[in-house]
Amino acid sequence: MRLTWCSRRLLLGGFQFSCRTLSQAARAEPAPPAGQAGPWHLYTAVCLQRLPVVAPPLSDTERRFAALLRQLEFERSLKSSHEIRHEMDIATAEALRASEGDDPDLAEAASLQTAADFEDACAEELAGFEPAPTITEADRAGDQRSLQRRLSSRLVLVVQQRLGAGTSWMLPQGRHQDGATLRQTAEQTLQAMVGPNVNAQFLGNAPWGFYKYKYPKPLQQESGAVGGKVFFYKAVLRGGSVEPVADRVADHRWLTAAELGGQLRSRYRRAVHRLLIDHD
Amino acid sequence: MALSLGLSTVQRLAANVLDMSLSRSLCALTISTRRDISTSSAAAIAVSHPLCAEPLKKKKRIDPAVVRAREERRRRKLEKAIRRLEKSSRQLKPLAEMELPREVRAELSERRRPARPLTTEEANERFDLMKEWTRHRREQHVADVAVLRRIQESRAKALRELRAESFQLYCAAIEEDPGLVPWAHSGPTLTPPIDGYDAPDGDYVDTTRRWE
Repeated sequence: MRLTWCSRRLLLGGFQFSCRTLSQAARAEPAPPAGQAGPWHLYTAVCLQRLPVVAPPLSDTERRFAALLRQLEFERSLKSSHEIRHEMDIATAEALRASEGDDPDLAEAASLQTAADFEDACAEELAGFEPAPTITEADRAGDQRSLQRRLSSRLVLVVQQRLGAGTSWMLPQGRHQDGATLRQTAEQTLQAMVGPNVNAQFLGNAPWGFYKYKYPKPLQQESGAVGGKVFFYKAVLRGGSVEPVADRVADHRWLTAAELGGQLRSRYRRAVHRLLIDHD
Repeated sequence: MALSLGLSTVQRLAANVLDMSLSRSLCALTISTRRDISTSSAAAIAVSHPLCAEPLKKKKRIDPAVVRAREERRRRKLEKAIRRLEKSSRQLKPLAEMELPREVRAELSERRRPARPLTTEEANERFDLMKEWTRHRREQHVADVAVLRRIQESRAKALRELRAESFQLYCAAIEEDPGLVPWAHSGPTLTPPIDGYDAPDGDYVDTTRRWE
């Protein structure tokens, strides 16, 4: 069929045109692609992330360059009032020693708190403050259920979800029903899996990743669908508490992108890994 | 009986009763006390002949070239004044925060550090370190771009598959999310927050400058 120039523009326009324009043009409705015979069940999976709490430690190059910058800034600067005061204190002490304690004014000036004393007092006060450690208890114990582990990396929630008779390690996944959008399904899925007290901010209405799998033969016949298409949604943990619901979820872990390989099946892990930031 | 009112009374009545040209020639305003019945005049107010007046000066004809010259001169003066004001607005005004404080500027000679010249080895080390840093930052940038491109492609694929599967869901997915903007996040710190930390109150001196 020879396409006219305007219908070709519509078909190749892709995402630019509004839904209303496309839905009015009947030829813009895409035909189902070949090789996907039969209906597919739609699922949404939620990639809930805890963002890094602490900055990662500096690498060797970064540390040396930071030291160089500090040195350059020092060399190009003027002396501060504190340094001037310190120099004057030294001069006063020298003069006092030279005059052998005869001059009462000098003695009085030397008895006031010197700049060095002030510095020591400040250092003492700072030493009295104990910051929280960046390597926590959970890091040492290797507790993968804790949110306090690996504070300088992103952690992703992975659950051992009950599917039929058995369980499987995956991102929290739920079946899409008619009448709701995918984003609404994703939000409902998350609440159903980890309880209503989780405070998660979803990143947009569009899915971030895709994974397709075929059901085993008996399940295909029973459900009438070839398999499932999973659309991944990203969310950021803002607060609240994650309380896995016992009848949907047997167990849960918070894993970094690198640790996902040990927990998830390879093709699924690749689909998940494609939508994650993984350089930490 | 017609009354001639004095000069002071005329001056008090000037603005809304007399005409501008008449007021210059100091006329007298007369008000008649007779009440005539008349269909034409509203009140029996009459203006007498001009008293204590000067004959008007004869208006001389000015050469139009002179007039034009005067206009030109006035315009040039105004333009010069405008240019002077604009020059002032183009100059950058000093910022008190960016300048050295008065006390420091007074003792600048004492505050300068003794210049310590760099040895050749030190200079070479610094140069090599800066090159190493440039390379490190470039590698980081390339890695970042690769990660972002990978994520973008994953998203594009997801939207393509969704469009093929269900057009309605696809339209709902490409809608704008108003809750996403403005996005706020307080980023990673050097050390994690301490649970239940009670920050001690500090003293502060308010040095905000006020101009009234």
